[in-house]
Amino acid sequence: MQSNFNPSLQKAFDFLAVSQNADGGWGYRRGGMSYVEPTAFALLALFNPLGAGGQDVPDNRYQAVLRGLTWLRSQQHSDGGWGVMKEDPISGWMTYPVIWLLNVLLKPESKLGDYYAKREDLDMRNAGRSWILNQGREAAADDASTPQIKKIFQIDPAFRGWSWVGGEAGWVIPTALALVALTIEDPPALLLSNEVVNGKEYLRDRACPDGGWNVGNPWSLGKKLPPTPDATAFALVAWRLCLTTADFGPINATVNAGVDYLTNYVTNSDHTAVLRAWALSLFMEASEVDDLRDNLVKGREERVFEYKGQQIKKRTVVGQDRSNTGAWANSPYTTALATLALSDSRYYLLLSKP
Amino acid sequence: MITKPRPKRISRRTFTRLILTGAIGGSLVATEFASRPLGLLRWMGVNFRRIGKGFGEQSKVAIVNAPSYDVDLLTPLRTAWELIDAPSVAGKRVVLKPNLIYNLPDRAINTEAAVIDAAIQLMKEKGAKEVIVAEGTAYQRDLTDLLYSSGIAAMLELRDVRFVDLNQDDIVRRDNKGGYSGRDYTWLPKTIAEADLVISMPKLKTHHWAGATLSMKNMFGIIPGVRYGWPKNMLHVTGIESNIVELYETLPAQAAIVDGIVGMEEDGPLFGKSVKSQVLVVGTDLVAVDATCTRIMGLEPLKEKVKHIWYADWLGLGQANLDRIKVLGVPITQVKIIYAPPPPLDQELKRY
Repeated sequence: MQSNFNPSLQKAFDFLAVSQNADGGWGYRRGGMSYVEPTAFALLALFNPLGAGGQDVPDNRYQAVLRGLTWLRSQQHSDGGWGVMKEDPISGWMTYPVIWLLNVLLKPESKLGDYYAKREDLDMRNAGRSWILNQGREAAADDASTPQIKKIFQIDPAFRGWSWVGGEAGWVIPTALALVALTIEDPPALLLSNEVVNGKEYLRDRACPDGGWNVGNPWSLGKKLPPTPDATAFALVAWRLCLTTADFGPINATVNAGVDYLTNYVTNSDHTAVLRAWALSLFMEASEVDDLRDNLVKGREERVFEYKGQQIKKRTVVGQDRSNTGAWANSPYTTALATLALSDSRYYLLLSKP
Repeated sequence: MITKPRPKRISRRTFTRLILTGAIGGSLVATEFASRPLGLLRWMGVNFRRIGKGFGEQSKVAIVNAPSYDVDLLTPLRTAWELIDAPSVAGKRVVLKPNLIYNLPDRAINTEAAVIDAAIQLMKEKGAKEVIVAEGTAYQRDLTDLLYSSGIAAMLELRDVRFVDLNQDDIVRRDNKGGYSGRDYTWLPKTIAEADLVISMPKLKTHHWAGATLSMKNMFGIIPGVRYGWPKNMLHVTGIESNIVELYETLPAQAAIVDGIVGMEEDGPLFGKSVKSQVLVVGTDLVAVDATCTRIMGLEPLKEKVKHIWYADWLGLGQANLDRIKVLGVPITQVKIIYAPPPPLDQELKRY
């Protein structure tokens, strides 16, 4: 059914091409400074065979991908990782989406490599992967504090996630992104590695008791901290890739509870609506996914908000920009994620799965 | 016979002097390194600043009554602003920084829309060139839903005021002025770095790690999540107190408007119980504002567990001693309600 959304996708690809910054990167908002994460996701979106990943590619998109990759390549640090933007000298969490991107680029049977890969990309990927495994992952907790952590936070520090900045505690969103980066490699050499298996247990352990995820603290001094849609969406994307046949029981129940939470979550945020649609599109039946995507493109709900008795109309929640720019929320980052939600996930996520 | 010259010998006195000089010099160097990140030299500078502070004027803090969020808040806020002889904002870019975390039912967690609204109107009335409301919440990457559920989004639309999500703003590097956190620099959102005045607008709350979360602690929200992650854990790992004072000293000009109409006691900043203190507290010395707020909550900032206020006072960044603060408007004794203190926690576990 993907072809139904092709016109919308084409507009989105064009928006990504025109919203690229002069330096080759993309920002969280149009005209905002170039960051590594939105650049990696914009390129991932453009790698769609219907975008710039196919054989016949509009020149503006082709050039945008070349410039974007050049910008990303120039940002790698000598330790193998990436900072968040050009001047940032410390490697951190944005390494994860870059390695995700490079793994898609380097997929053996992909034509992407023929068009866009350079000889050094494999080395860059390997150095980045090494950084993720060795420096991005949180350190083990010492034996003395483990009982207190278990008692106060009701989490198990034996399960180690990935950090925003190397050397710090692990958190849900970076862990989800790191798991994708490590396991999307084709063939998935690390899927059954200790690090990945332990990371999956981290996500299971950090799930909120009533379903979904937040930053990574399901409890605060004995009280439930609620889940949030952003962390839940990223966690579910990771689960879609990392779930194996061995993951029945508690893990499956955790994932299902996360899907339920996100399904029932009502949002007024275009960005959150996009994230929600993206994650749920990976778990729903085809007909439900079509509905989800249709709503993402058209937007259907007109909502009215009040402040001190005065009614203030809000434009339709979600929906591709009415001014015909092809954007969601005038943001390259949100638009890139929206194109992933509208796309066949096989090209960017489920590389070796049928 | 040749008499060979006697080899030169150091006299006992010279030897003793050398040893003493070496010992004193070595001790100073060792003390400098051992006492970092503050360091001996900076400590001496701090002492000069503290001595100078003792000769300065008292810091003005205004307390005004505000019985609820449904009444006119602009009038009492204007009164408070004028009582403290606040700096002119005419022609300036003012950033209002509320405290927005989570929207949990029946919990007084976030700065109320009505208080932000009054501050917006006051700044416009005083001739501000631009008023921006900005926050970088710690627990989620997108706070749009929080803006809608709290009524802030609708209010901002009504007032035609821009909101900036500081977590994903452009960032600029700023050298730390204090050096207390062990970091040489901090990445700051451009919106904050380029503001003429940043007004911290916290909620009156106790806090399970920091003792109380008021106008200085509220500035943690300006730290960009895109660089430091969510929930900005680096600020806990490297020392809550040192980071609070580091930010206070490094940021541009600041003022505070504290929403104490309904505060939170005990297990703040999220799960404590609501307390109706029915006040707004305003000032430009954030140390004095926070010290006054803790006294309103029945805590003594210089004796109890609100270390960052004591630390900021000790560093000479502001006034926390009651006799160095000129409280204007309503006296503390009239609005003081004893808040239940936060639960005791092992401070070593802040990283989680």
